[in-house]
Amino acid sequence: MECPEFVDEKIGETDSLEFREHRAACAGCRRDLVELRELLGLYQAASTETYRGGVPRFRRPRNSWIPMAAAAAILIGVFALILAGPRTEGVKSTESGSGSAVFMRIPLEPWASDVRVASALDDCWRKLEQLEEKKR
Amino acid sequence: MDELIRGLQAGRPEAFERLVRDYGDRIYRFVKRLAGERPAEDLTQEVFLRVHRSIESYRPEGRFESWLFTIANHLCIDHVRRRKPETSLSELDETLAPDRFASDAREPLERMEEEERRRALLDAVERLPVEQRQVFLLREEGGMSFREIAELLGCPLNTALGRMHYAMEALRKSMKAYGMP
Repeated sequence: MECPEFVDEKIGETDSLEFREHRAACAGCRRDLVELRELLGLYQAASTETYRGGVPRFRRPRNSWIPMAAAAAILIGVFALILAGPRTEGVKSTESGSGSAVFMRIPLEPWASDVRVASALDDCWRKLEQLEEKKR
Repeated sequence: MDELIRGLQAGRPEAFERLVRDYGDRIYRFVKRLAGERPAEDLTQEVFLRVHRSIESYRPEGRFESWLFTIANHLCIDHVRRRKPETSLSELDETLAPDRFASDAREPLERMEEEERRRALLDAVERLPVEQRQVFLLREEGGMSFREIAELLGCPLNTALGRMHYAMEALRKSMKAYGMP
């Protein structure tokens, strides 16, 4: 490609006044632009395969992070109860304020792998164990 | 677009049908060229499954298309990293199956030449180094701006532009033999 200082403009992101003035006088850059356009046009004409897979069945896979996260939430609840100690007044004791709850946020991207999810859950376990230690 | 997103978030089946109808081909082509022919259909399905799982948490800070291709890109890169190095030639042969551009012998010569050029270009795209291919495909199939691409890849804008530049130069070089200037 000619005139490397104008590569960005030629690739198509910007069209500065400076480049417009330059290409009016530069046959090499005008040729570059035509060739790049031709190449991309050819690619668009060639890239025509179609997806034949149809709409997937939106069942939650067994190894999805959602059931694992649900299991983690239940475990967290169990730990919270353990940390709160024995309750003698049944349901009413929740109003006493002596109970504690633990909330943990597990930030996971939609594309997070199972390994990453498992590692996040391990972190939760570790934190809960630390909390339990402190409580003792 | 807002209507599509609302439909997806509400879990309406017709919204997912529209999603697949509107984006299926582009996602499939993107995935096929980045991760290869063999896993392309499964990975495309996985993209839609991920959308289904995470659409509730989608926030329209950027363009929906960019979000969609971000998911596709991550899935492909994970796949490419996981798989063993394969013989690229066999994959290439499979990708560009002989009958893909098969042309009837009665067709005019120009048509056959044009098809050969198209095949050669797709061949050349699939042979680009993965970083260049990624930028090229995000731009050409994903319709993303270089700024969006740089953000997705976590690299400076100039790096994204540079990769596209090298990709275009490599493609031009490959296509010289096919009568392109």
